[in-house]
Amino acid sequence: MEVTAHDILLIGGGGAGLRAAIAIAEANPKLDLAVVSKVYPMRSHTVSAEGGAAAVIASNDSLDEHAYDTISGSDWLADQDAVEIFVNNVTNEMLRLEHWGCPWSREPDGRIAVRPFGGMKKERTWFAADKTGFHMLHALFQTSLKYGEIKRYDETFATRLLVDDGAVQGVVAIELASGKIRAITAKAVILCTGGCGRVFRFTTNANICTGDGMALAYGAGAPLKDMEMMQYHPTGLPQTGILITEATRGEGGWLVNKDGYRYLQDYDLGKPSPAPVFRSMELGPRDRLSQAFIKEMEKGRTLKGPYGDYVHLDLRHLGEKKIDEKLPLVRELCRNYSNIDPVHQMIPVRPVVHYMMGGIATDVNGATPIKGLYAAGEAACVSMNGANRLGSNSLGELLVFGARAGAAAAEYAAAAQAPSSRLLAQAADEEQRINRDYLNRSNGRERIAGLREEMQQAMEDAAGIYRTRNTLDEGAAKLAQLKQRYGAIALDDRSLTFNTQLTAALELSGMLEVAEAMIHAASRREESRGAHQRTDFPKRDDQKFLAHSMVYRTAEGAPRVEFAPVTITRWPPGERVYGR
Amino acid sequence: MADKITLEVARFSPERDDEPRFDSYEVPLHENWMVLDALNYIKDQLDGTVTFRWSCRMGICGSCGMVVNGHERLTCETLLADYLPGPIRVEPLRHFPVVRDLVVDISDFMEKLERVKPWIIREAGAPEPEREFLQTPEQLATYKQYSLCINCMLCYSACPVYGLDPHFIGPAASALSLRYNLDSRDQGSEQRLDVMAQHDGVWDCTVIGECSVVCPKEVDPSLAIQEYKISATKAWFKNLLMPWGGK
Amino acid sequence: MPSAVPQLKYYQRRMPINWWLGRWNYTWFILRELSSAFVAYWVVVTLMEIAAIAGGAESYARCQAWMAMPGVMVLNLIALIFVLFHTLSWFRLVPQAMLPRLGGKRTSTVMTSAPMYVIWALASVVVACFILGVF
Repeated sequence: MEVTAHDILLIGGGGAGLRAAIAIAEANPKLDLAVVSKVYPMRSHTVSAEGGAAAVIASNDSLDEHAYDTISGSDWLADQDAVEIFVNNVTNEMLRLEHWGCPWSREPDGRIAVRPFGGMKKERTWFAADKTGFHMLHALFQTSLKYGEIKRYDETFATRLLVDDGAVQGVVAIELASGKIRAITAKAVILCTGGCGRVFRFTTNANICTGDGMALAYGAGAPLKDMEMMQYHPTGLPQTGILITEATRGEGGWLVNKDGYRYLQDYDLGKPSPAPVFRSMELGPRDRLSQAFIKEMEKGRTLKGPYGDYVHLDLRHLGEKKIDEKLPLVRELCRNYSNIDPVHQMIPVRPVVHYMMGGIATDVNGATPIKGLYAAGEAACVSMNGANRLGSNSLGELLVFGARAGAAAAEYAAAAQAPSSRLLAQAADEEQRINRDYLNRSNGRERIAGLREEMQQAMEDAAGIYRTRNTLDEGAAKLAQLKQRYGAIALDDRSLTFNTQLTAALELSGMLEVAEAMIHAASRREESRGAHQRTDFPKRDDQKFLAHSMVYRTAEGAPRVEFAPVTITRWPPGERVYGR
Repeated sequence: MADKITLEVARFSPERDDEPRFDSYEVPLHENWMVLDALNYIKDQLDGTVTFRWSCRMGICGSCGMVVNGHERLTCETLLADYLPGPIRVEPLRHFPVVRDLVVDISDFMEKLERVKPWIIREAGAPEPEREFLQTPEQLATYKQYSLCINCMLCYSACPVYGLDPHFIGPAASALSLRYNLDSRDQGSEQRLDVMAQHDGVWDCTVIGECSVVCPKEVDPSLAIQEYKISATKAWFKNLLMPWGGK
Repeated sequence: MPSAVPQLKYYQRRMPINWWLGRWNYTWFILRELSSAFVAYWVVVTLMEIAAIAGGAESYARCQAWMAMPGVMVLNLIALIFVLFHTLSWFRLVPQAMLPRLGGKRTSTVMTSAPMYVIWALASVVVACFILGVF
């Protein structure tokens, strides 16, 4: 087995991973670092982000207001020290990215332009047309090429963390092109593997968003925090789930039901006005808007389509010029995937699984409770987003916490000991397991696609926008059964060359673990907060549940759920008010 | 509308095959299904060994470029129904070595991407503003379209020059190089010129223009290359007439 | 820097010798390039005619007789078609290769091509006037 050694490994080459890598290369050029990614970095899902990234720059805005919007948006589940660090640093990070070439959209005088976004009291969302994530990722990736110290293992799939003496010291990974299994050791590992939207059937997420890093950390004993907090974005295209950015509403779009009525006004989100009003109506927070859709559906006021119920997003009053200038990708997506032109027709939309607020538990420096293991980005839960993330806060999170995790890991690695040789036995074990349970297996019976679809449907049924004891219990039982059936997984493809069926099978194994963690966390949180809504516990309960759920993997059966306190600094829990 | 369509998918497994062959699969023709959906149906339900790259399924990640009925397409944006009655021939991108089935080795492109120095270059000692560089919408517009490249490499597949001479720097790398030259914040044009104004740089291009025809993001790399030729020529004359480096 | 992936048994396809017949745009390109040969031919013929005129009435008459041969006339017709094709394909190419900016905005394809057609038309009229004896 080929063994290579580095000082620091980044698993995942998206926004957080690349930012962390650059941070390490700048902090300590003598450190040997490598990015291990199952896709080429420019394919990472950061590329699909559309609307923008928030950071305070307007003179009438303040860091405290950004913090308050984020904390109230999170339904007070966010750790306020993390939020303060975020708002204090995100503007500088975004300016740094601008210096690195990111083509932010501009005001006529050349200054960075900002647009309104959901849940934000002021305009502070920077944007690059409506391809913000694409431009940010490409700026980061291309800038990372400047640093010769950053080595890359492209299309290399990490299957297991190497742990010795209570510290993470590397990974075992499959080099896709050759099928070769390698052991890559390091003094520190940073997981930047993104979210897990693909545990659901209908999601904005790309195929690659399978929670690999969450499963790796979970398997190594790290807790997953707030996994019940899965955000439904209010406006996805039916059938495909492709994201229609919140910027459509920031620029003035309206959500209307089958009667052409702007229904959000019935849900304590303010009164309609022609132009967008901050923190009101269509610029309310995502969880409230998605919940409003469900209520409208129950009242029979949504439209019925071949792919489920939907409502309309009306952009016609924005005009062609504004749409082409500020929302060109939206127009392209609607034409390609919905056969409509938003300049002349309303866009059919419905809530769609989009973002995991929860993730691998970390502190404000990206450190997990396991020595040598760090995490940043959507894979991590610092927690900055609590029970509901505001739109345009996640791209900035990649930069701020990617940089911090990189710096922290660099400091740790500079002082840490070289990995032990005992790791090779673990790595050899892993190679044997992959060969035995997947490539050379002859008695498998379960099809990957079959199990995956059943898992996705189970999650839709159990952990949708509204959950209840019954659905969650059924979901938990179903997932336990699926995990057992996974033991008999069968592969058609035994090739060593670019075996994507093998990686799909490995991803499914991780997804089943992550999905189970989500269901159990949702089951234990007996209140409604943010994106987690229980019909059997409809109120927020700060007495018992102003706390983070922490899910730990157990060797036998169901995971163990504990609760950890939320860090409150300057904003005592209050009522979330929008539109008033 | 018909309810089925046949795909002929190029197959190659180095462990088994000496050269590529085709396998036929019949897939259901759902409304709005793209070629990518059909490939996923084949992999999930019919033949798990069919191998291809994909990720975002919304035309932004650049993973799923292939040749469909002889033309370079992003399979996530290519409607099945457009090819009725079929069959649809799906092949890997041209001019790159085939790793497996529809997956090609893009390491040559990755090397070229890096070679053109696609990052903001500032002269030594040049001041950086405290806040943002001021860049007007007009200044942004000069390079904007060249920044839209998703690295899908349809242009390399469509370019016969790259096919005949793999040393050619190629369309996407050239467009990216120009994107930085034209960015008002960048001062690295001369450094990039060393790479681009070579015989296997922009001068290899014979203006066939197919790269711009197939580009799914309207980057127009052919225009970028010709713009580059003009600026390379101007730079050459300037160096000739003002060798002491006038500005 | 990416780590080097070992060169496994990848399959390298060769471009077939008739690659340019595979797509109309490729064929157009080859014909466009080939047309330059006919432009060169036409230049040579014109120079030959000028030399013949300079050599006196008899040498010009010999030249005309040669030009009147059926084989030469067919060749000249083919050359004419290719030269016209060359001109039109060049006009089509220019805006694809160059879109100058006026006041920050790119000129349109039409604005870049139109002047070429206009000048060509005017020049043709002037030459025709000379040939038809108007001046």
